[in-house]
Parts: sequence; structure tokens; C-alpha cells
Amino acid sequence: MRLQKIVFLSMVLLLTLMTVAIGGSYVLFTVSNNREQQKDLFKTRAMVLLDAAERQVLWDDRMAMKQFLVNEIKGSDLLDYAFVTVDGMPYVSTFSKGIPVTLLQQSAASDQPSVWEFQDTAGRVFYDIRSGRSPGGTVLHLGLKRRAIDRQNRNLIVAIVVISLVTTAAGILLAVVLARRATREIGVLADALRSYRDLNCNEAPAIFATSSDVEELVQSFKLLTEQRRLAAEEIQILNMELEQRVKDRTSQLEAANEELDAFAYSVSHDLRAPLRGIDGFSLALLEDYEDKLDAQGKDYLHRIRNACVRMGRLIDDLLGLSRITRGEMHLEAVNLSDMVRNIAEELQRSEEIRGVEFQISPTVVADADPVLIRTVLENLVGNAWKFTRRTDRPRIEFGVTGDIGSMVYFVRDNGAGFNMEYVDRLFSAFQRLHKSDEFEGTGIGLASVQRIIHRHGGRIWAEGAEGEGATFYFTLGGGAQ
Amino acid sequence: MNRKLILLVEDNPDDEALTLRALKNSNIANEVVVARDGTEAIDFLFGTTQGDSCRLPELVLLDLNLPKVNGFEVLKRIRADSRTHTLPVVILTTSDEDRDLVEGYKLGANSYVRKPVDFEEFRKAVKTLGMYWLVLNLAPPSNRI
Repeated sequence: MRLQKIVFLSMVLLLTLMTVAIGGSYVLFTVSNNREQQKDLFKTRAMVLLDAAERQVLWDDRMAMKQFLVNEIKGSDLLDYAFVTVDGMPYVSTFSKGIPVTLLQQSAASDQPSVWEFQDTAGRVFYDIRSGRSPGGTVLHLGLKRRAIDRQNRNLIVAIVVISLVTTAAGILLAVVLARRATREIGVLADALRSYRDLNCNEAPAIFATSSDVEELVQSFKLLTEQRRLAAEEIQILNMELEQRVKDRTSQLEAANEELDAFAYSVSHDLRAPLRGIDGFSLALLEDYEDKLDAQGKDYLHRIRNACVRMGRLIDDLLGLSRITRGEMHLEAVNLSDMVRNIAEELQRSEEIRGVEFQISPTVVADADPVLIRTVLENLVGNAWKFTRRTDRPRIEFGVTGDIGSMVYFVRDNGAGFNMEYVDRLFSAFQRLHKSDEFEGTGIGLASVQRIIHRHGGRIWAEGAEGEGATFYFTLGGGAQ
Repeated sequence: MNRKLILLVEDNPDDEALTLRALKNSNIANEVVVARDGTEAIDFLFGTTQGDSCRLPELVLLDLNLPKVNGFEVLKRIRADSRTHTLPVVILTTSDEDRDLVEGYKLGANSYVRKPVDFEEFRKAVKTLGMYWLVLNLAPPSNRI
């Protein structure tokens, strides 16, 4: 229901109820008051009449008395008069058909004047005003048709009803006007809200309210919308700037990656070729000019060749490291236990006499890139294999600790271990904690491992002690880049 | 001359010498023609340098990183021509980049061999290649001379 209608209906209801209540109570009060006044008036009249009729009663001149009474009725509100004897017999009356029996029966003898109301057989209501005993021994009964009194009352009621109706009509008119007046402001407010609501529309029509408070509301809302619009524009600009920045950074990153890619490609081609020349011609010298070289010369050439092979391996490892950074990752559920078991079998086959004891937790599964994670496990397990070479009863363990969601995988060995002082250098490229004649290696492996773990959004760290083995822990943080 | 001919496409003189030495060491006595860039290789194969006696090689050892016309382009030309369409081409190069491998096979290389830094291993690879492609492998009839 619309507000205007609600206001209108409630005002009309209230006004009607008020009018009815006030008018009704006034009518009731006035009617009863009137009746009492009439009765008093009649009483006085009866007394006066009785005094006036005293002489006729004395003379028992009923004709004159009746004439007197008829004259008296003319021009007055009174209907009929009736004089009744003390013993209840009719004496003189103006009733054309004689005094009604009911009136006679009810007019009990009394010395005191009194007034009461009664009905005759025709249904007419009379007010009977009985005066005291006259000298002639008669009692005066005065009759008055109720209609005479009612007429007065009816006029009053009609007047009140008319006034009430007029008041109510005026009230309704007022209600209409007020309802319109009050809701027009609400309408203005609603219009304003609707017009200024749209953030993109900055040319909404100006809306003015009549009342100052609504006007204030409208202006406040307009201001708020304006502020919101400005804020939205600012956010849009910021977003665009941010997007542009991201685009710039991405293209810079792509360019850097491309450069790295080109660099690695040319390294792959151009750095290895001269090495092959050095190695090849050293060997040619050793083979073709064997008789012209002494032992020291041959030793130098062997050293040259060893260095070539080592450098070749370094280049390969470096390229491998850069490939780990460049390639795309494809995450899937990988059974790490199977992978470690597989790597262990390959290692056992390569050096059967070692007799390393493997302890692998069953069904360790992780979300990872299968190729990259295999590189990690190959390096970690391979390191453990390498560094347990001088250990009695070598043992390598793969397992997992921690809860679901924060799994920590580990590879543990009881090999050469390392000094915790140098733990920071473990994962840097080309950093080695052991002499190369003790344990071979280029120092790239753990750097690659760390890079792969980082690409998976994980972390890697190590614990160990010299001569007591090492444990490498890593997490795979859900594959975030 | 009924000897099977090998075309070696190689721009690096060191690698050329080493490859020739490896072939010699492996007792592969076939005649070897060396093309020092892609253009030379194409000229040799499609006749502009040989006059009338157009001899097709039994095997092409192809390097990828060549001046002027690179190895892939040479391979493309070989595969596009009906005379050399089925000619065995072995890519013999330094690179082991995945994309080179993929591109090589896509363009129809018969084999892809990486040149090891260690000459002894290189020699082993060349010997195996020669044994396989010149002795064991049967070339399609059109290439037989």
C-alpha cells in the first residue's frame, strides 16, 4: 500500500472516531439534560396553572375551567391537561376522548408534586406532572407529548449530525491535503535517490524539496553519491594503472626469460664446441705423438682432458639449472615412494656391491611436476648414496612428517654429513663442502633442487653433523609459483 | 667409383677435423665431402657444383648451427626435393635442447646425435653411426648407386 493511502486512511479513521465520540457524548448529555429541564419547567407551570384554576375549582365551574385549559394549550408545547379527583376519577380534561384509563390507573394519589413519564394505549408518551391537592379536592395532571420534547432533541441531534458530517468532510479533505503534502516530500526523496543512485550518470537532474529537512537529506545523498562516484573513478584509474604495471612487468619478465633462453641456447651450442676441440686434439696428440711425449707431457694432456670433461659436465649442469627455471610446470598427484624406490633400484644396479639399506615410507603422494620432482629426489637420494660411500652399514631413509596440508618430506642418510656452520652454502650453485677427490660433483645439484622446490612454492632445509649423516627436509606448498 | 659417399655439413674446422679423424679411426673409409655452410650443402646436393655427374651421398651428417642457411633449412630442402626425399639425414650437433630435437624430427631427420665433449665418446658415437647407416641399414632403392 502506498504511503499516501496509509496516511490518508489512518487520518480519516481517527477523525471519524473522534467526531462520533464527541458528537455522541454531547447528544446524550444534552438530551438527558433537556429532559430534566423540561420536567422542571412543567412542574413550575403546573403550580402556576393550579393557582390560576383555583377559583374555578372552588366554584366547580367545569365549563369555564375546560375553556381556560383549551386556551392555555394553544400556542404551547403542552398536549393535554387532565384534572383528576383525589379518588382517581376524571374531573376536567382536554383529552377529546376522555382521560386514558392507563393514565388514571397510574396517577396514584399523592399530596406532593411529582413528574413521571408514561405511555398511553396509543403508544404516546406523556409526561405527567401532578400537582398537589387543590382546595376543591382535585389533583392536577398535566400531559405533554414526548414528541414535543423530542422535536427539540431531534433538532439538536440533526444539528450535531450535520456539524459532524461537515467536520468529517472537512477532516477528510484535510487528510487528503496532508497526506499529499507529507508524501510529496517522500516522493521527492525517492526521486532524488533514484536519480542520484546511478554512479555512472554524473548529470542527474536537480531535484528540490519544499521542506528543509528533506532538502538536506536530498543534498546529503547527492553529496554521498558524488563522493562514491569519485571514489569509484579513482579505483578504476588505479586498477588500470595496476593492470598496465602488471602488463609492463610481465613483458619485462618475458623479455628477460627470452634473453635467458637465448643465452642458454647459445651456451649449449657455442661453449661446448671449443671444449670438444681441446679434448679431441689433446687425445690426438696423445695417440699420434706418443713417442715424442715424455711422461710429464702425457700427464699434462691427461689433465687438460679431465678439465675439459669436467667443464663439459659443468655446462650441462648449468643448462639443466636454467631449464628448471624456464620450463612450464604441470602439477599432478605423484607417488614419491614409487619414485624413490625406482631411483634406489637404479643406484643399486649401478653399484651392487655397496649394499646400502633403503628404508622408504610406503605411499607418500604429493602434488608436483613429475619430471621436476624426480630431479629433486634423484639429487637428494643420489647425494645420500654418494656421501655414504665411506660409511659402514650405510642407510638411506625417505619419509614424511607433519600433518596433511603441511607435509614435510625428508631424505636422511648416515653418511659423511656436514658442518652446520656451512649450512647456508649448501644450496648455492658451485658451492661444495667436500673436496672433489673425496666426493665428486659440480655443486649444481642442490641449487637445482632448491630452485625446483621454490617453483613449487615449497621450502627446503637441511640438518646434519660431520661424520653423522645429513637430513634434507622439503615442503611442496601447493604448487604456487 | 662405387664407394658410398658421406656428406658432412660442418662449419667449425675443428669439429670437421675431429669428425674426419673419428671416421678414420673407426675404419670408415668412405669418401667424405665437407660442406662448410648450408648453401654449400644445398649446392652440392642439387647439382650446381658437380656438373653432370650428380652423385647423391649415402648419408648426410648435418650440423644445425650453420652460417647463411642453417641446418633445419637444409633439411627442409632435402625433404622437399623428390631426388633426396628419402635420403638418410643424421643431425650431428652440439645442442641437446628439446626444441632442436623436436624440430629436427618434425622436419624428417632420421636420427639425432649429440656430439659429446669427450673425444673418445665422440669417436664411439661416430663409429656406431657409420656402422649403422653405412653397413647395417638398407637405404631405399632410389638412393642406391
